[in-house]
Amino acid sequence: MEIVIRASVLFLLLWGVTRAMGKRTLSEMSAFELLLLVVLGDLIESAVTLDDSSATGAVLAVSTIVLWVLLFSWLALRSRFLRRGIEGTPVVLVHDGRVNDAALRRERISVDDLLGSAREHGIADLADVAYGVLEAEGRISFVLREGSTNLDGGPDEHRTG
Amino acid sequence: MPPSTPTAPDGAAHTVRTRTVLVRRAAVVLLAVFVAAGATGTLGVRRHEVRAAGAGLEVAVTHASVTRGSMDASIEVSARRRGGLGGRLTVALPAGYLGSFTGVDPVPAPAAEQVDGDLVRWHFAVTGEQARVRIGLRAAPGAAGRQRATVTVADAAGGQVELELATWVLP
Repeated sequence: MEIVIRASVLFLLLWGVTRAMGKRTLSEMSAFELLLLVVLGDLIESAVTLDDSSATGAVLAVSTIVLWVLLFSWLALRSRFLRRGIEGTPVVLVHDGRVNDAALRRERISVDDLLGSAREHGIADLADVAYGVLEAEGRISFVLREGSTNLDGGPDEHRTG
Repeated sequence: MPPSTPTAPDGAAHTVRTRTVLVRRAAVVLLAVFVAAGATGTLGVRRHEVRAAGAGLEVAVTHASVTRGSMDASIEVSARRRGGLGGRLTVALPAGYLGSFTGVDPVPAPAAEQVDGDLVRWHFAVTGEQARVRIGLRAAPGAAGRQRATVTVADAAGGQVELELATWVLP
């Protein structure tokens, strides 16, 4: 019984930690953040199983976490309100070519990171961007202003990556 | 002009097959049942009490009916005789049963321990009408299956009781 409770508590804790780390962290981790996650994983493993080294215990812990993941994804599909809580909401970083500095600070993203993402999308100038959005899963997507083209020469207005 | 190679999946792949959905749902239900079994203690550690009496000696033995490898499988023996146990309580367990467990640790420390054929006997010095002893055990990692044993409990006043117990050790 304890292993199910421990796995549940630690899953919720981990979910809280990853949400607190910020959206961008999920998609681009620094060396420190990567180390933190590795150490966290090790600590979590010890905390969930304690002295239980049985195969049944391991399968039970994994099954509990899988059930929580399934439940969260089901809830996120069913309710927009819950989806915002579970997955977070997109944040507009660039609007009509203007950078939203407050949003950048809140999401702990530097202007250099933003410019790098724009370059990855073939965007030479943020003035060409209608929207630059930090998506819930951590990607930055760009929508170009009407008539603008990226360096790839694509007429697309919906480039994500 | 290179030949056209469409990258779109086959038309049939666009529709989620009913059978696939059913299999996925069945898997989730199985997963939920398994976790529920774990949460309710069905997959161990689950304890069970057996009682018996003979010649004035009343004995209750609490043991793990279901446990898992490396988990607790201790046996607790509670003995009672009106008029006193005579100063000594003996608990005997088959060595074959104990072989599936590790960390055999009788508490309190026994006055004597002897191996008699397939039986391991612990003699405890006790006072009064009631005594409680514990044989600390852990299921050996990798052990699995049903382990059965007859626990023999005797006191110095001539009473002897045998109790059957069984422990399922899950892998």
